[in-house]
Amino acid sequence: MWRRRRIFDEFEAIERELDQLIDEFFHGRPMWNPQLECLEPLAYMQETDERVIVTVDLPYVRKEDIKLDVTPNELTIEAKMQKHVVYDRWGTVQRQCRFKTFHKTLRLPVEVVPELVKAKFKEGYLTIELPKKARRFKVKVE
Amino acid sequence: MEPFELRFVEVKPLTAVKRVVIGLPDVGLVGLITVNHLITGLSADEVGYVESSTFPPVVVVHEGEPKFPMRFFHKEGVVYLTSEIPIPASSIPLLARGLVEWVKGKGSPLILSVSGVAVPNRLEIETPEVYGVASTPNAKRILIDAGVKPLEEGFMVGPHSQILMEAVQRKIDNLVLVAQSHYQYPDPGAAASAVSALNRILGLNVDVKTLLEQAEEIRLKMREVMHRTYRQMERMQKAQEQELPPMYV
Repeated sequence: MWRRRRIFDEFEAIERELDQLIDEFFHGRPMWNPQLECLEPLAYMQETDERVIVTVDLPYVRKEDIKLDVTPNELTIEAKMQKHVVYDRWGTVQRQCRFKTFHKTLRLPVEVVPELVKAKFKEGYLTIELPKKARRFKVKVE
Repeated sequence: MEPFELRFVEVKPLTAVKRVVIGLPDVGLVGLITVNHLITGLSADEVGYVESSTFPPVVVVHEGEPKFPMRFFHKEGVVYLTSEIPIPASSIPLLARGLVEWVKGKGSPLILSVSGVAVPNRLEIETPEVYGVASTPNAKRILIDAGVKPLEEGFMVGPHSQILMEAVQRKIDNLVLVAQSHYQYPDPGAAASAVSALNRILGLNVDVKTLLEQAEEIRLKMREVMHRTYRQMERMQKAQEQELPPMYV
């Protein structure tokens, strides 16, 4: 019994390590770039039947300082911060870092119509609605 | 060194513990922001840490001093437990068992877990509501006396849900407070509502105005811990909290 438990423990440990490795490989990159003085904002994407909806958290940003660039497959968000964020000893870099903008490019899951994209900004949260290109038809059930 | 799975290490021994407040990274980082605000506002003393062989090998360096990411603080009989990293989904059962066992060893004081409950229309809500779930009739009385509405139906997923079930099984008083919150963005507004509820329950007077004034700074500084927490929430199927529970027709 003891031996069986040990074997399962080993499997669990291997599984945990693999999960972590995969996780770090796909998501482990930093959310900042000191050379470009930009931070990556928190952004999430969801899909409905008709559109792709992207929401972005943009603290210290005013509506007029947001730039959106949309192609059928990609959305780029750039926003200037009202206040420059300065870190005296930034993490592993161990020197002063200054950040002035948010920047993020998202690969869209389906083609969208750039001309019909709508965006609104409320209390520092940006919501972008991107209509999907594929046309949908209603089917009558008989 | 003896092999271990999880242990609570008291750097300064705790003798009289009346309440234990827990704020771990979760929905909107509500618990984390709330407990950190209380620790700062009350100038609570750092008294110990939690270590586990199942936690990721992370050390936090503050002013040149290495620290364990999960630490606890103390002020006037109340222990405040928080973590600077999200708890891996696989470590939650062990943490819940270890925590309730440790609390039992301290004479079973009331455990107050603080978290968020995601609401899709969060941007339309000016002052988020706080709901509560209690493990025992005694804990439910405390909830009602503090004017916190009970959460009647729904799912709970994450560290606080596991701690709650451990508390139910061992008949320990546990209150889970959840504030209406953004799901994947740090939510200082939700934390402000949670602080107000805790002020009533614990008889404190911690200012929430400063928390709201620092909202943008908190949202900016907590981006990365929110991002990591979001990934852990996905692993523990946190989105289930937003589903309707089964019903009979």
